[in-house]
Amino acid sequence: MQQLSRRRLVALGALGLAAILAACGGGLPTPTPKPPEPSKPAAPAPAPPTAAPAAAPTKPTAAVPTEAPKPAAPVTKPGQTVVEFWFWADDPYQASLHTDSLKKFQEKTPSIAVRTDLIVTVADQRKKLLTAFAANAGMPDVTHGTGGWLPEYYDAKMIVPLESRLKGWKTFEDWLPAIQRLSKGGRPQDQIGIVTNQILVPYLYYRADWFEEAKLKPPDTLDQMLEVARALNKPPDRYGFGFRGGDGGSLGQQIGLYLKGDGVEFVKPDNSVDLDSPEAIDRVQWYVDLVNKHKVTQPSALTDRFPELFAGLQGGKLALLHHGLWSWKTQEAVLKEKVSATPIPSGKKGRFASTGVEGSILYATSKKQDEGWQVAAFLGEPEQAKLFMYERGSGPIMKSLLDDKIFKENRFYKAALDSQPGWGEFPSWHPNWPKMADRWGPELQRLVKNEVNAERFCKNLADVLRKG
Amino acid sequence: MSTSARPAVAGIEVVRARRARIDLLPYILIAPAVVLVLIVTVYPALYAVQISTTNANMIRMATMRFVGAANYVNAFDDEIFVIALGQTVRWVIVNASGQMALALPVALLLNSAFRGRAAVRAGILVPWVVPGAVVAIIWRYMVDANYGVVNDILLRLGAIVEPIAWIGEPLPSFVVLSTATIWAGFPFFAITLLAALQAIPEDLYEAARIDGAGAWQRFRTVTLPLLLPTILLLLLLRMIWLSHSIDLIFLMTNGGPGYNNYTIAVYSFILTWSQLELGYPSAMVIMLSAVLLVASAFYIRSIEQSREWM
Amino acid sequence: MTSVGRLLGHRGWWRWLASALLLSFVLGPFYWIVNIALTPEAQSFTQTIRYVPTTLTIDNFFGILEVVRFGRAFVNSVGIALAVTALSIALSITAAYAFARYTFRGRRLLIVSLLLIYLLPGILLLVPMMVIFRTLGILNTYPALILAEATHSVPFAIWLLTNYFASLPRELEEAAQVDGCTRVGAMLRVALPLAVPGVVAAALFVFIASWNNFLFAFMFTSGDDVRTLPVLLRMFVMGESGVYWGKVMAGAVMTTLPVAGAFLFFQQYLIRGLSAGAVKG
Repeated sequence: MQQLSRRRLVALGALGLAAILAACGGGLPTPTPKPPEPSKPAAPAPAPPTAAPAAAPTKPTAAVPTEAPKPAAPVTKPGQTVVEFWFWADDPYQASLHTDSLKKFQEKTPSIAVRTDLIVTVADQRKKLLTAFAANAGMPDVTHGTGGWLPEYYDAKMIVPLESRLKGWKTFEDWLPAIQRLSKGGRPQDQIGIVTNQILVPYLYYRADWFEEAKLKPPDTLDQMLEVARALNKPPDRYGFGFRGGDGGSLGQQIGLYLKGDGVEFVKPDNSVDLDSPEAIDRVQWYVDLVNKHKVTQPSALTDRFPELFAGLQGGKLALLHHGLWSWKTQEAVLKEKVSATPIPSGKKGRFASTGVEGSILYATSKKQDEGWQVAAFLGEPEQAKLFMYERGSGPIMKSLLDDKIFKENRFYKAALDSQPGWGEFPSWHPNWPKMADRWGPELQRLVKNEVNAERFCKNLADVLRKG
Repeated sequence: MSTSARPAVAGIEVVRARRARIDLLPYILIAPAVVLVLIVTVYPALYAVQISTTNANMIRMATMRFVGAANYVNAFDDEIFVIALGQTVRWVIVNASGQMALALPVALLLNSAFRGRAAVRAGILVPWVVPGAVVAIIWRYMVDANYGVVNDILLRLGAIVEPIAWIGEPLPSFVVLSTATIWAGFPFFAITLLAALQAIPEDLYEAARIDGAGAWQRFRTVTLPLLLPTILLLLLLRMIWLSHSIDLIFLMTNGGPGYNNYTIAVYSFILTWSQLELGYPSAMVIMLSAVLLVASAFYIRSIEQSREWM
Repeated sequence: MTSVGRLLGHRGWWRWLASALLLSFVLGPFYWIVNIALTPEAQSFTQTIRYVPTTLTIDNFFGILEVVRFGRAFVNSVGIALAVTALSIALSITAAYAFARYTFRGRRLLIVSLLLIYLLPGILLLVPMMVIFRTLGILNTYPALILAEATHSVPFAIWLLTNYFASLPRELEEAAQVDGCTRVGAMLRVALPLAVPGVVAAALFVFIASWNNFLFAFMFTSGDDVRTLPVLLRMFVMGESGVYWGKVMAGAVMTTLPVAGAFLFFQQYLIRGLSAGAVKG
């Protein structure tokens, strides 16, 4: 039977009091970041020293916002309508593209306050949305979204078709026909459901300096890609091909593109599934041979996602890496002239580059439809779209921006545009597509580990597509 | 008012045949807790049972239909479920025994007085208070294939020739997950065992010593029997907890590589989280809970029985 | 001296060895995250591992506050944990006292049922809970999380406190009642102060469980405003963003220090609180 010593009691009380004050106080004052000097911006990207000998700026210097990018909740005043906006970003710099634009919007339209929430990955945001919708609570008014989601959301009656609003909107006239088509989300019978402000084109990064050393040309076909990877493969320092084994990203970024390039459609117009056709199995085997037979991939291939792969490319370990126009600034900032890009290599039937549109989506549950539309429209106007174009590497959306010099002068944009005939989409409108996409990751890992063979792999996933 | 001969005894009112009175105070005292638990735990559990008989999916709630026991039966046709089943057993047994195997010697160590004991006792509590998310981060980074310190140490020691991709290989990833779980979990065991050890009266040891028992015999005849109920109960609690645990597995590997670290709980969670399924995952977890309930009943009965002949 | 101690002789050197090994296993990883947290981030991406930081910096600690709303998450964690603790302990004290001191119909059933709750994993209750919270209109707010976590802790707290109360001799309370105290008064004025070690132990358990909670926080909250630390940290490990190991480790350190500190401060109460329970079995 011990009595709490007086000192301890006082300490406990003080602690409790302090904590309660902190909790009710509405926020700890975060230490104000010291204003960064121009050569050292506040938000670094992973920059292994082996890449850049000198203290190189790790972020693009041109249009860098000088304050620390931080998704913040603006202070709302009484009488304002609050619009809740969710988005994701690959890094804080990209996050700032949204938050800065929205701040500008607030200045322009003081009657609307935008409360933002940064959810770090696309997949997480989708799940949060669906969960909130199912529970009928916590739904945002507007989110950043991708065209690939639209069919699913339309079916769930989550979103608002936008054609009536778009017709009265000036910028809509400016949209390229391709954008009008892609903004429906992949099912021609749907209405446009997204106020597009970006189009993302994938391509293949390569170490231009290594290629030059070895006197190689960037690969045009998948077979050439394999040759090049083997030629440049010098373990343990250098690996020919950055394999994306982690979390199923290979579907949309690597093997999925190759399959489409071979003519595999996944789901054909007559709704039959060809994912387990002989061509598909062959290509899948070819893909896994990169790891097991030719050994041109990095040791951590099985679990690497883009953060690790970026670190590999920037750190001088990888010769080839699939990604897209939307990361060109990040790579160039670190590697400068050493990195370049080439269109996705073509398969047996041609080239396929899955181009996704991204933009703002309005939700049916929102009670602030008009205000939400204003936010979405603002982000879609040429001024903001240009921001995304330059800073995030979006391709052309508007006719008025087609002649912009960046498309002509920048090698990354060139690589993206050169693949234009192959621009297209996956049949992600299929009701079982999300389920199949979720299974892709673990099944691929099993394939690489030889727990299943290529035929079983294809069959398992084809069955999910067929039966759900 | 009916009273007993000793009016000062609180709470127990003697009930006379003529006037039966129910003492309300205990019920009032426990009511808030019970009500809270009822609303927030029991009702959802019943709802979960109900939903396990449907094919409900979060985004297609309107079209859900009753499927009876289909979820339960079809589970055994599901390749992943069967894999997860075996791996659940593996996970529980390896981690429970690992934690106990480490905790018992540690408790014995701490039971003896030596300088610095207080520091050691404080030190081993650190893993226990670390949040699961932090445990996952620490171990994930330490075994990273490219930048991890574990590979570095092993390479320097000459134990391996090239870095192991711990997270990416079936068995190594299980080893990492188990190590992290044991690391985080054994302190609770150790401290509880220590408390139980310290409650064993010294005279029992004296008596045994006087009878000429050696150290090992004293352990076997005095320490172990008195400790056994605590050990067994703790093991039970821990095995139940392990059957449910998803934090570390989910945070470190998402259940991968492949399905190699799926347990029933992990599979159910991932299905709910990523596919937004409700019916099938609920069925899985209910099956798990049912098995645990039955196993616990047997287990507790055998503890009682073992107590009798001690 | 324990029996095992005798086994290996009177000299205590082996204890020091064992302690050293144990402590390095237990604290080594923690040393590592502090090491990385204090190292400039660029360096943690090199292939050469530095066992002792060659350059010390606290930039990472500020860095994480800039990159995400770490401060807000910290406050959320603190506030929620305190509220959960207060709620759980308040409910548990009264219930535990009742279980310990009174016999009444349904007592045994209730105790067993409360503990059976732990057979129900949180993952099972997730969606039903969301439905309930939505009906109450509190989803994605503090109260939802507080209710869920408190309910999860209450059975354990009751169990611990019941054992503790039961270990206190009744005489003092009976004496108080002879002096005219009501039963509730006796509970509050006599039993409760004596049970402080048990209460502190229970409160500590509950606080830590809430602070560390990932599952409920992950599923029931979205949005910076309500996010807690463990959920925030996961974003770093599993997100698509760059792997900011330096900042992540700084965040990890800052997430662990409060609970570790509270724990070390109160650890003697913990043992005392647990020992009353353990002996009763």
